[in-house]
Amino acid sequence: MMTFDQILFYALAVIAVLSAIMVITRRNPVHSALFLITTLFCVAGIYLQLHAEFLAAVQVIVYVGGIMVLFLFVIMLVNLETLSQERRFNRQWHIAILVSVVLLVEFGTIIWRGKAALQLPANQPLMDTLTTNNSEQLGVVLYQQYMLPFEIASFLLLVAIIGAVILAKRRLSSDGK
Amino acid sequence: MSDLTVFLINTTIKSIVVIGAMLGAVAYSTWLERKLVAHLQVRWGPHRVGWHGLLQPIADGLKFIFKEDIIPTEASKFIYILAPTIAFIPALLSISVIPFGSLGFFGSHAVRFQITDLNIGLLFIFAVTSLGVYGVALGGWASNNKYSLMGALRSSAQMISYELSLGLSVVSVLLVAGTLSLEKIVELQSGTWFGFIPKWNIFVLPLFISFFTYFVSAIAETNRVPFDLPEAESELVAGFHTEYSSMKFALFFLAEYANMLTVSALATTLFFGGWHGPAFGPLWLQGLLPLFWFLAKVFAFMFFYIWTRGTLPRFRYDQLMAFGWKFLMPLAIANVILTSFVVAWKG
Amino acid sequence: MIIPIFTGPPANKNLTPLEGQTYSLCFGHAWPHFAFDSDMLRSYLPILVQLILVSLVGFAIIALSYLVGKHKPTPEKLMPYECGVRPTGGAHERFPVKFYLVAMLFILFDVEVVFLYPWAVIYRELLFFGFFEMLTFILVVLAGYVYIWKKGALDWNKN
Repeated sequence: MMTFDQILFYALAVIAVLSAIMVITRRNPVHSALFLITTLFCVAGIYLQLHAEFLAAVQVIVYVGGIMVLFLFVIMLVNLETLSQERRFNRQWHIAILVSVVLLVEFGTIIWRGKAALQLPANQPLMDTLTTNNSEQLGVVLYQQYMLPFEIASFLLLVAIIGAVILAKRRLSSDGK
Repeated sequence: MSDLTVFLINTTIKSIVVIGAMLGAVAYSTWLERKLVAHLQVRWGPHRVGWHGLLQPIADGLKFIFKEDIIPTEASKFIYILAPTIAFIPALLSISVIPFGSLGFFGSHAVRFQITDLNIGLLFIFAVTSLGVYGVALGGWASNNKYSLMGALRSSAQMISYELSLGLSVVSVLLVAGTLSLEKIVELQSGTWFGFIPKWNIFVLPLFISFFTYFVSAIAETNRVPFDLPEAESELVAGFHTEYSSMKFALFFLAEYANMLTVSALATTLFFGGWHGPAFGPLWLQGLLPLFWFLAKVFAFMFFYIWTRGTLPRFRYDQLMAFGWKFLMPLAIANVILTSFVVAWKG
Repeated sequence: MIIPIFTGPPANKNLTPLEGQTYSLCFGHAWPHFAFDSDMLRSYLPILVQLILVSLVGFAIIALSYLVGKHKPTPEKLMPYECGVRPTGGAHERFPVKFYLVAMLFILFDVEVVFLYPWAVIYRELLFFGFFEMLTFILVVLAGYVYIWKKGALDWNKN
């Protein structure tokens, strides 16, 4: 007999994987984007089950509310009619399969070697005792213990901002002439 | 009955009550808007259906249902139908973490006047409202109409731009409150200073600036005057919903007004003490007065919304983007720094 | 603050009343009948209920207007609207790269804002340490902000 939590987890996991498959098989890029959003939501749901509330909220705010909007904009910006008639898999699929296999082996090895850490203590209400307030705990760790990585993140953002403007500027000046 | 069943019945009843109340409030907000704008312009407004046009929203709703449901031949059918729902769902979902009143007792049964209180309540609202942009973008794209797509792109760019200053302006409230749970933020605002100034966040000194940035960006976020560019009918026909008719159009409309109500409710919760207000009289009245104070404050914000619509002209698009990025955002960031300095100074 | 509605609060003052629990009066004290297995489920189940109900309402409204409304389609009616004339060219033309740039800058500054939330929540523990820590962070990101301002990326009409 499965518990409610388990049913929820398997439902979310199955929907996430199915929509991920839909993302790469749909002809219409907007449909692909919608399925990717579904996958991201399911992953956010799984974060919630792990009691990572803050992470779940940030997943929705940054990925769904930001990055996927950018994806949609790009889909709207390029000419859609020509895109949907093109082949779904382009010539790079050999390399793509190679990279996927390497990644799969890598993940497999990591999970196999670290499987001891994945075992949960039996009959223990693990998370409720551990996590009272996820965002506070995250703040304490991030802003005291991991202060340096946090400051380095600001430089990453700076580089990304400058990069975005340079890319767009090149497009702007070539469009103008 | 098992405990889970009791809990589920409890929440379902509350959800139905809240959804019903929201739909009713939305319907009568449209009446209020037409009536108020009319009076600001020395007209009568709706006056025929019912006493002072009070039955007008119901008549409008019926009319929407019986109107022809047009799906343009060139539209992407599935997304065209889905888009109004995508706009509608987040608009009514984000209200579920707002505390409408204090905890009360029906007999021996404890009932909270809030659908649920989350540890990350405020983030939940931002996460859900950030989805509203999809209804607009997809609706405009799926219509396959120049004006729709242009309007959709413009308004989504506007919504995401102002989302930044919206998110930044509440950081100051968090600095003072130290929690993301909306119920706790309201509870921290109970009591008075010197016996007569309520301990609302708006009266905590630097927070006045955050209220200003919050409300201005919220008006832009909900696409209202003076930032109602998506509906700049002189240039874009009707913006992203040009091709929409009957109830599909009405859903966009409902979503807009529901978002206005949520924004007003959040402003009440964060800055104006939520449901706090003087409580007096017999026990049952003391239990219901918080709900009344909450609704009264939300009404005041709705009034202000409509008042600005009756007063201000519309921004030009480049002015709008410049205002958001070059004025509101730096102001919100400066306010975060100022508030954090004050909080650290006081210890 | 607990305000009674029709009866008084539970006689046991030490007990924080939890919503959805039934309290029975026993020897003058109120005791909850149960506690939830998981607090997480307790907080988020109502969200799921609300989501399901709102989606039902949304789709019911669309279905209702589809079933009740009349359908008399004509080719002209189903044409994209273009001020009464026949539409010229397709709708999905290429759009200015400006929109793309705005979305990109939004993501980057949104990440900055997200960093501010956990910081603000525990700010009382950090105080001036946290102030200077975040000031450094914000100043670095602000350098990028000044850069995009100077480059004219924030001016909508300028290329």
